[in-house]
Amino acid sequence: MDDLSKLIDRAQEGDHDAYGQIYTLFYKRIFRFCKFNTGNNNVAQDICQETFLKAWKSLPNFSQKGGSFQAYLFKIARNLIIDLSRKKKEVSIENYEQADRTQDLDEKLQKQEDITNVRSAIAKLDEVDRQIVILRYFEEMSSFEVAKIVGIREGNLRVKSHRILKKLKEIIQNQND
Amino acid sequence: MIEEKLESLRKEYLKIGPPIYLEHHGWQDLYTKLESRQDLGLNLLFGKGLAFGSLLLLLFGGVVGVAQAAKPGNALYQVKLAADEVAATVLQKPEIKVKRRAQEVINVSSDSKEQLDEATREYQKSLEDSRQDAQRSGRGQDFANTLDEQEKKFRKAQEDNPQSADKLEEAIKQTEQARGEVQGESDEHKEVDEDHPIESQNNPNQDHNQGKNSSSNHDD
Repeated sequence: MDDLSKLIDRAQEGDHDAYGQIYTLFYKRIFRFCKFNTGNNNVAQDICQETFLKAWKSLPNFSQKGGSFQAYLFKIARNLIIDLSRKKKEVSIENYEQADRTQDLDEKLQKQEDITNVRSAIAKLDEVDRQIVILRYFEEMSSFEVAKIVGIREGNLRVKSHRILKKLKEIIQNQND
Repeated sequence: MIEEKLESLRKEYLKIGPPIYLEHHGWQDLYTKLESRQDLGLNLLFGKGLAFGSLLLLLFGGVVGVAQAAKPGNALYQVKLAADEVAATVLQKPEIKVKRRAQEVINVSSDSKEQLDEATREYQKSLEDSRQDAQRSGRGQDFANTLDEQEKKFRKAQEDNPQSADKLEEAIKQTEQARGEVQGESDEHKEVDEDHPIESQNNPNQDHNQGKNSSSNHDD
């Protein structure tokens, strides 16, 4: 497979095959991110596809100098998730999380109380903090990339990360109490 | 520790896999959407192009239509000449230009002297252009017949408009000269055939070339 930056160049020129290779590289991660945030397979699948559709549409404006392509994709996905949660306030991300308890992943998670508690605690964080945890600790992205995605400065992100960990500890403590 | 708990959750997070449908048909579905968006773009572009083309055609058609009524010296007269040029080329009838210019001479023979002068000049130009085109396309005889008809019409116009008799006489002389040139060339061809009947029969290509050379020399 070609080097990612060459694939992006080709895709920017309208090469569908190159974009297909990019899709193969990233779709699992984007789906996973969407699924964890929404807790619903179908919704996650739709957002995932919409992410790549939007990314293709805006591809001519994407600059490789301005940030990584994965950050570009995750930012689009995150915005779509936010849009969805705004449109369907009655079905919040927390509700998705509750609904997901009956599904395979949460059934496994329920067997591990600690993990369940962490997950529940993450769901209680505000949107930006939650994305920082997912992207920084689960997707293991760099501070620079995460800062780009959530739209804050890199310096602020480091400070924020420490605060989030502290907040998570408090939430879990309260849950256990 | 919270970091350890996060690490445990991370392992679970990484286990999240795409549904089978997305895995097998995800790109196919997306590709179809990308293609349909492109088609839509092309359709829009084509639609706009078509609309623009129709508008141009309407505008151009309208201008050409109005120009048909233009007389020599009018603003749209050049459009009329251009349209006639196109008609003569498309229909392969160079005499069209001569007929139309001749009719203009007759039409303006009762009007102003300036327009008659202009019309006669355009008629002379059309004679020269059309004669060459007729000779090139092998329609010399048709062209000569057209000139015969025009001469008769000019003579009748002379009777109807005696005030323009001199100018119409000039047009008649131009017509006779052009006819003489076309017929003279035809006679020259006949002479060549009569002088070299054997070569002419044995080598039709040579004869044809001689005719062509004769024609081009004549034109020069």
